[in-house]
Amino acid sequence: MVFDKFWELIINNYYLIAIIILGLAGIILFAFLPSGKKKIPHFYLPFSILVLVVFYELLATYMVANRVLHEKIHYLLTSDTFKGWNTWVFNVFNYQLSKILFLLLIRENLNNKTRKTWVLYLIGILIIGSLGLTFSEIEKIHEPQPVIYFLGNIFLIIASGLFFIDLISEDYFLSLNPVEFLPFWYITLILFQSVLTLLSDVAFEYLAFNQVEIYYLFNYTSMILYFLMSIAFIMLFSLGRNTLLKNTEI
Amino acid sequence: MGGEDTQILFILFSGVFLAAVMATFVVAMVILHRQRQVQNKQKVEQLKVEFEKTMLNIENEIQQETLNHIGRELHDNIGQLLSLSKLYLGSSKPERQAEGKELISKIITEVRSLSKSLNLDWVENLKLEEFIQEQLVKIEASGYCKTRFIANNLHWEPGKEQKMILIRVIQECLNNAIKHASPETITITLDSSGTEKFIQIKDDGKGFDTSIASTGSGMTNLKKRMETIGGKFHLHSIPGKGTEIKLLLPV
Repeated sequence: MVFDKFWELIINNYYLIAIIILGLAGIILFAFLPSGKKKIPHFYLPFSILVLVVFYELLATYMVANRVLHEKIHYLLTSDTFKGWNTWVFNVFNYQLSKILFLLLIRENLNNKTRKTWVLYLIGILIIGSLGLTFSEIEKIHEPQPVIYFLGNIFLIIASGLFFIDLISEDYFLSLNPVEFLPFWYITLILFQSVLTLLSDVAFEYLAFNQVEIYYLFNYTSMILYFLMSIAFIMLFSLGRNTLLKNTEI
Repeated sequence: MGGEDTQILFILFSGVFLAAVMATFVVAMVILHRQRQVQNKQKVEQLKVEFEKTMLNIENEIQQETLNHIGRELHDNIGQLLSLSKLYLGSSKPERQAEGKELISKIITEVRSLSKSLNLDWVENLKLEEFIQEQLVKIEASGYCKTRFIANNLHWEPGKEQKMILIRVIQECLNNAIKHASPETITITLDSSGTEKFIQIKDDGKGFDTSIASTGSGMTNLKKRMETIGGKFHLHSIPGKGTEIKLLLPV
């Protein structure tokens, strides 16, 4: 019964189907990468993001399908009344864990050591801030956490900005054409996704309850951007290098 | 228009505005990157031209020096040997004539070795360490000052062009030390540190105040020459405490 509902929820959600297909393609292509490349953060971080997204999207769907288990987990997390929201899944895996992975991925693409340290500080602040706000229950784990959403998105915007500054100031990037450089594309998409979802995430509570169409609009935009980003990751695994052209790899 | 509509419009407008700002930002970054690439290309071309110019100057200088050396050899060595062999061959004594023939053979060898120095192939065959040692032996043989050479297990063989520039820079540094510093000892060290290899030319001579601007262009030229091969020229000197020059090259 639960599985039937879970399956029904999956096949009725095109985004979820696309994410699962891309996730599977990512796993297969990553498995075929040479073992040396699998150990490089430029490859294993995008892979971790792909897998994490498939995992939390499926978990969130399963939580909707299996209400009994969901309720049990809810009461393990909090003593507040169970409303059937799976917000905690997205809070933990999307707004905290995946943002940290994205920040680490941007950091790996930086060349300047000082900027790398700054991104490390941003990750530290995000971890401490998220844990502090969640455990102090200023922002409850099973409810929208606008401050953490704001921090995650703003830090991603800052980190993406640092990448672009690196791109125009570091000699390391002089030999490449940004349009052929895959990290340029996925970091641009991270930047756009963070900027566009910043508004909807911060105003999540208001939009979700009062302006659901606008909320969906932003949500769909975010989904399309994530879909494009996944394609960039898949290309990264299938090419086995971070540039579209063979001889321009750095 | 109601308050709700205004809020929707505001949120939508903000989203579109932020997206437009970000798009402009990304496009601006790509344009700036492209501009930097163009500037860098121009800089590389300029460096290439400078390098070719430097190489031409150095080749001329080395050739000039070689011609001077040949002139001296012809006058002081081969000329003397020829006169002597003419004298011996003109003698009626067979042993003198034999000595004259031996001298002719020696002259042939000397002329062959001189002809080899006319082109710059000797630079290719000569090792940098050997060149430095030769120079130091010459200085010490002239009785000018003592010399020391330290090569810390370094097997450094730069390419022909790099070697030619290094040879000229080292020669110029040694000439400067001899001309201006009156040192008791000149020490040359070949070593490496991290990502760089270096040649250190140190003397315990007069030294000079590096804060006073020099009227000549010698040091600037040496610095420029090192830059054309991607190297650096560091000079440190204190009046009365000698001069230390470091020629650094990336590994």
